[in-house]
Amino acid sequence: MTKTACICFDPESLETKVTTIAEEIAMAYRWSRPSIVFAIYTSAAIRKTAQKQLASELIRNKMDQVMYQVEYDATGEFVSLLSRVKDGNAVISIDPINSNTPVSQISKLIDILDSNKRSIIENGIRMVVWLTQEESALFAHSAPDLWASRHRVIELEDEASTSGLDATIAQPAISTVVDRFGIAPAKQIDEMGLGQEGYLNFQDVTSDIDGDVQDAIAQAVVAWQNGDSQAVQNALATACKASQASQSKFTKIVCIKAKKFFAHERGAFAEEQELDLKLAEIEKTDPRAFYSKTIISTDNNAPITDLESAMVANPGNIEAAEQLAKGYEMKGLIDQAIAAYKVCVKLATSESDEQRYWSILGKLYTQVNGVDQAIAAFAISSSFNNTDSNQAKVDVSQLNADMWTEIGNVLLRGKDMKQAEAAFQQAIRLDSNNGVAFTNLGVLYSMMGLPTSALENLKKGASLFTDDHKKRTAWNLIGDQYRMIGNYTEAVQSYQTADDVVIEKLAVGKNTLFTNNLFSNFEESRNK
Amino acid sequence: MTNHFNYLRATDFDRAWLNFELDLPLEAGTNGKPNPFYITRPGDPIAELIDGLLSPFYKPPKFFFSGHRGCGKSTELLHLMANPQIQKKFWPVVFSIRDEADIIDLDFRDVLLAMGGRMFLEFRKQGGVLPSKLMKDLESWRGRVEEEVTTVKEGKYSNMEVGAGLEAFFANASLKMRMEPKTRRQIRQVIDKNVTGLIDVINSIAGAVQARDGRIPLILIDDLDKPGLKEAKSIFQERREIMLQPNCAIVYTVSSALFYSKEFDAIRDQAMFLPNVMLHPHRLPEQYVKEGYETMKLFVSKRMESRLIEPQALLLAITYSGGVFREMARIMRTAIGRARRRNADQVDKTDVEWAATEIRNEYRRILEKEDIAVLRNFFKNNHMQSSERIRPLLQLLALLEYKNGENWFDVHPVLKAVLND
Repeated sequence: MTKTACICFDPESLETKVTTIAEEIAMAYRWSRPSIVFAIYTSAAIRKTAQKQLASELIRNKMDQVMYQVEYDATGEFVSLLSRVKDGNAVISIDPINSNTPVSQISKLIDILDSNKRSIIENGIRMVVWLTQEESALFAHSAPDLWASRHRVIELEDEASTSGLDATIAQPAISTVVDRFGIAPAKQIDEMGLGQEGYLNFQDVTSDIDGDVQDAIAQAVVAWQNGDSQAVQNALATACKASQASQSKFTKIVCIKAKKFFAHERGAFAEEQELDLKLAEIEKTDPRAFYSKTIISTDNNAPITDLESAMVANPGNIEAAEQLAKGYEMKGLIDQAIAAYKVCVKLATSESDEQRYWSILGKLYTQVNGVDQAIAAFAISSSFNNTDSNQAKVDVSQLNADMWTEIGNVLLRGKDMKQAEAAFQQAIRLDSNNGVAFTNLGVLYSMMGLPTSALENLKKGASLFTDDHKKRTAWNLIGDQYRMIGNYTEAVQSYQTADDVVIEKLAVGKNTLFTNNLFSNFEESRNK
Repeated sequence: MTNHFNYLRATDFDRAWLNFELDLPLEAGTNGKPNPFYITRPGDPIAELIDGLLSPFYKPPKFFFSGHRGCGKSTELLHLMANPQIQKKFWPVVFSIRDEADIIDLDFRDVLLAMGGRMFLEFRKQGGVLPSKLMKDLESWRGRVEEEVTTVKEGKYSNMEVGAGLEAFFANASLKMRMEPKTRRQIRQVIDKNVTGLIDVINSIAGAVQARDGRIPLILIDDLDKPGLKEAKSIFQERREIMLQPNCAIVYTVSSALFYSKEFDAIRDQAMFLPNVMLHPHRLPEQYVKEGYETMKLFVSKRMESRLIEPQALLLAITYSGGVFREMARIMRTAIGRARRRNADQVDKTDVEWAATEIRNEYRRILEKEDIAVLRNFFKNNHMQSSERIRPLLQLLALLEYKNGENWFDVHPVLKAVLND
């Protein structure tokens, strides 16, 4: 009997793996046979790169790619898609899935594919299902029969990042940085493809931290994980230098926290103690230290508890109230955050603060789909700009374009297309240069299956953006839309345009927040 | 599209890749000839089922046909249907429950309706005409259903000729059962009011078929092993009596999980299990069972010329397959793909290792540490152990079952390297 000895193979490049997928699909197309390929990705960036490459390969093989999005499948749309593509040259690309997609959507997708397995096989359907590792495990366990019919499973892993950091080292390093110091190293997040999720998770945390400090600390963590103590010290020195030049006390706090951590790690307890004292000194003078505690502490509830106690001891402590509200918001306790910001409104000592709190409340209400409350809160916030003191405070006519955009976003997330469309259009009426509103209106039309209107608005939005990051994302959306309608030449062109947008430095958390391809100007409104 | 498939032995890698398609249905040839790719298994286990069907009976028999995923149940059903003796005695109808109902949410009423519908539609397709009295009864039954489930009607065929309306009704009901949960529930509620009414419909159609054709209807239902154990138990245990009532011969496919459940003991004499091909004796992994290897070699040589693969590579591929046909096809297909990319003339051992590594990595992603521990135990003693993790491992083919005398288990051969991680 032949014994099975394990042979190790050199890892293949991403390009080779995508070519393998393309070859599998091309062979199946050639013979009019089915092909179910699972592409398992380890980061959003890898997925996107692979998808772009696959799109080009398919074009070369004279095949079309049809996107299917389970979240917009009310009923039977997949079945009708199967009948549309069964005799053609199309490949169904199923990529509704990102880390923001709830488990229910994945389960829905699994059910849809599982119950249509026979139809997929008998009609010679070719499809690529893009999944994360966790989703692939869920898939296999939930639909073992469909899993058994997989033709290929190709794992698309991160290769070394452009900064020279090995992905397997850099990614845990990022997690460490986030866990230990509560910061997000912008550059690495971008490189490692945490992408939108990364920004979403960390944007609030990092908004006040100097980017150079973030990067240097991340480098220190990587060096630490590599066991290179000299490189750790060098990186820390860079961080400290940048932190000294920074005006942000919060940056200084985070930098000291990092130094303290590494001092502890190498057993320099005297230095650690010294840094502790330094930290305490700074925290006394900066109310945001409460906030930093909320983020940095490993005991997630302790700082919140401290702040709650502080509020009980002194209910008029506006600083504690705001930090508490931010803490709740950070932890995703939106209802508590709303309640805390309402306290802030009552305690506010200036109109500008009150206006700011109402604006934040408006945003928070959109997160819990409280459209009416959001409108009311935004209206109140807007009313502070009105010099006519006799005018009623809750007045929808006072909403500005950014607020209408926010309302449009929440309506869109709730699939209230008609109202969302009206909200975006109102935003555009109020500000015809509002790129966000145009772009999100484009996204809405795309979801409604109106590609011409979608492209028109997406292009308008892209043309209005001055922010390179937004511009790049908008062009990627345009590319996505072209792909959805099977115009791959334009799609590739659009992606190329997106790639050509040079981003000098990604300022994480500053003015950039997008969820499921929806832009928001809220951070800008909030900062104004 | 499967009708257009040419079952030709491959002389090059392109065609060979095609021939190792995982779910290639092996339709029988003309005049009951077996499919060119069909191979007879060691011990010809399907003969037992054929014998059971051909034996004299007072009431048309019901059989439960089981086997692990990928072991060739669908192939054997198609082969059985084309058997000349079966054809002579029975009027066979084979279909997949996937085409008739939603397997995620399957119920005994769905299966019964599917049987009645498929039998009626097949009979009409062959030009059969039911007696007018029976047609009136069926129309009346249809009217009662439509009265309560208006969505099935859709208003298009109320003025159609008698019979055509029923055809449209069954076709529409099947579609709705599969696609529309709401209508599905409504139809079930209507059937619930008079289950025996639906059994009467089935029996009437079966009787009419037999009267006209002279053969006894034989319904072979594939993919009934795909629903979960809970759904399977509710159909075959809780409603077993009803499922045995139709007056026609039926072969139900059932999952291995149901087959081995304690409650299934009562009907085990009506059940048969299609085993995986055994490649080594129980607890002797270093030895090999010649008959098993020869069977798998035949599986390959029917699909491609032997010169396209090195003999040692073929043996390795067989070992890695664990005697599961679908796994054999998967390994061959992937290995052929790599050999093709290398511009090689033959599949060699590295190609097979490559395929095994790819499959191994797939399992690495989906198995948990506890799963590996369970597999390690099985690898050591090959005996059935009590663990709730076993069923999913069997479903995922991480664990394979064999029969020679007693049942025993082994780990999927590609996974043996994972056990040492």
